[in-house]
Amino acid sequence: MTPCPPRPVPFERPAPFALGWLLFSALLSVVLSATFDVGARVEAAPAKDKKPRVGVMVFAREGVDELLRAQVERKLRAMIQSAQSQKFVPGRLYPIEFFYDVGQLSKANLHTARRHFNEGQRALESNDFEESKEQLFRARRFYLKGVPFVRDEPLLQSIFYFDYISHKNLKATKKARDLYCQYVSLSRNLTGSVGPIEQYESLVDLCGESPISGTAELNLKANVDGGHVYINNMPVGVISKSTPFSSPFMSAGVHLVEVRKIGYARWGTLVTLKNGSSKRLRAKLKRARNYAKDFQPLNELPLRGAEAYSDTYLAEFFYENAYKFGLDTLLTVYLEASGADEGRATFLTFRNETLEPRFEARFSTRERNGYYSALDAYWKRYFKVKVDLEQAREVQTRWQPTFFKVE
Amino acid sequence: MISHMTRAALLSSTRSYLLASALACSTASVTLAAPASPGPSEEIDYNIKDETLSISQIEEAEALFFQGFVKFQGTKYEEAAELFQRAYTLVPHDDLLYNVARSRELLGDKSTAIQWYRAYLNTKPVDETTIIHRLKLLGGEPTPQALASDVKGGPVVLTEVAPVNVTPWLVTGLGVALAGVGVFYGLEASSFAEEARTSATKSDYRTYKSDAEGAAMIADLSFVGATLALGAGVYLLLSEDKKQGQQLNQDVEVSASASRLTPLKLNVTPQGAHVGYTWRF
Repeated sequence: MTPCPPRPVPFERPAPFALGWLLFSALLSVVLSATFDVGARVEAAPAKDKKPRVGVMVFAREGVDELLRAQVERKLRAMIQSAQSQKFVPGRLYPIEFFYDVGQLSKANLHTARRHFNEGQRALESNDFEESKEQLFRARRFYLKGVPFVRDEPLLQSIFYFDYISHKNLKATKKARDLYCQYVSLSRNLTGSVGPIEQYESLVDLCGESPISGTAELNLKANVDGGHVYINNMPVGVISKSTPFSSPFMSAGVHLVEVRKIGYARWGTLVTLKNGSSKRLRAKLKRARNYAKDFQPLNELPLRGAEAYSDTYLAEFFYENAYKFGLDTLLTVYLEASGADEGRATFLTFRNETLEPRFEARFSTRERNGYYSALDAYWKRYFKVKVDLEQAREVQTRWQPTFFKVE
Repeated sequence: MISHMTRAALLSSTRSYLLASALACSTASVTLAAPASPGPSEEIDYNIKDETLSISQIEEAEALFFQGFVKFQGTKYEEAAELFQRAYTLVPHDDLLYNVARSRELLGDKSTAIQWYRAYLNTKPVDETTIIHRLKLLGGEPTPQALASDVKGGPVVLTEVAPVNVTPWLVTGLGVALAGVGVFYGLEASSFAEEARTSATKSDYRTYKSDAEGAAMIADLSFVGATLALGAGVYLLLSEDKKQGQQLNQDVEVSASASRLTPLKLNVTPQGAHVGYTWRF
């Protein structure tokens, strides 16, 4: 007799297992959602304290001098900084010109400079001062190749300082003293101090007789029209092909000289001015690689006529550009010639994620500061604050005290 | 250079992604952080002031420094060191640490000089190689986590390194382990259940069913435990990270190198010092 086959018994999956799995999934979902939300909140915290950025762009149309454009740009920046210091304009002025830089490749020079600097340190350790002098010379040369795109001020200061140590150990007393004074001068200039080194009584004995005491003359020419001259990161004036920049009483010492223009890669160099000397420099600016993509659309924006953008499109256009530059407020000015000795300034203000109605003002191009009236009218209309245009200067406040290593 | 907002979004989304990967198997719908705006290739605050320092503080610190400089030139190293220390309490500049150390060294006070050199070394100066060499010559170990709190008349420069809080990681690890156990026994339970279905005899069926239920129970308990442990672990990790975020916000900007796990961060301020644990990917 064959046994009966077992009756198939339906097997049900144990309920607790399914429940546990469901509970786990549901709670895990909640935990993950919370993770994302809290994560976003945690990382958003620093952004809350980030100061809003304000950018200024001024474009000149045919018939308007580039130098005038640069002057208007400079004055508008000064007005923003002036209003900022009185807390009327939130945020801080942001240098848009860096967006057009092509200096990334110069970082290779910085790495080489660091390498030579470290070699120099090792040579000093083994008391091979000739070798350390040589390595520090190379470090300085490679660092200078990267100026103005690289920025490692402690390294630059240390190159000067260790050069001094090398020369001191080589018993080159006078050279060593000059190098130490150069190091002190560099430390002072980079922190925004102005005036000759002997203004500090305590430095008179040490550096009073060195070539970097007193004043010197700096003359600068440029291959572009309407560039801004910066010395030690401070804006000091504008420059054109036909109008060189001249500073007859600069403090002698080591200075970082730069020329910046929107749409162009910065030009810069580190210059050592000696007492009573006159130095001539020629700035050669190259167009930025993203000139056509990121500069021309703004520069050639059609403002009037059949080709002019609709308000909606214009708002979107500025929204995109402000986003691209990382700005919260973008003030754009277009300067045009509207008749003999008369100019027209069109102001486009993008702030609070909105493009505000455009503002137009005419001004005299014959008078030296004719554009002041246009800027004044615009400022009163949009910022409701009175700014003294004559007094508005770009801030040159010292923002760090002068410290250096003693030896 | 990645802008601050870009970095924040990148950190947030990357970290969330890693967490999601680590915790696995979820059907949760998530909201990513808003896209961030890119900035210029290089940001230089050429006109920004350090707002934490008042003009009077700067001027006083500078005056003290130059007084110290004069004393140093006149080989009065004791007074010079004290003046540099006072300047440091007002403006914590790295060079002042070096100057105090150098003054103490020339004074012949080796042990104090070593402490100040270590404090300077802790700021990761470009001349790190030279300082390490000098420390060796002075007979000190070049360890940056040094103590300088007993420096006579000086500020509390550094404190002891606080132990890293490993509890959140342990709890999270326990959760992951329990989830793994749950998955294993869940699969076992499914396997026994399948055996029960295909068993030839009723006794086999009962045995397999009993085994399946047992395994399922263990899986359930493991999942419940894993849920609780993971929840607690993630909460602890986030609260830890939030504290660090606030600390970073107060003291320093987030480092430009976002893709780095920074286990320890030692910050020195004139008010004191602290050690931070930064959890960043």
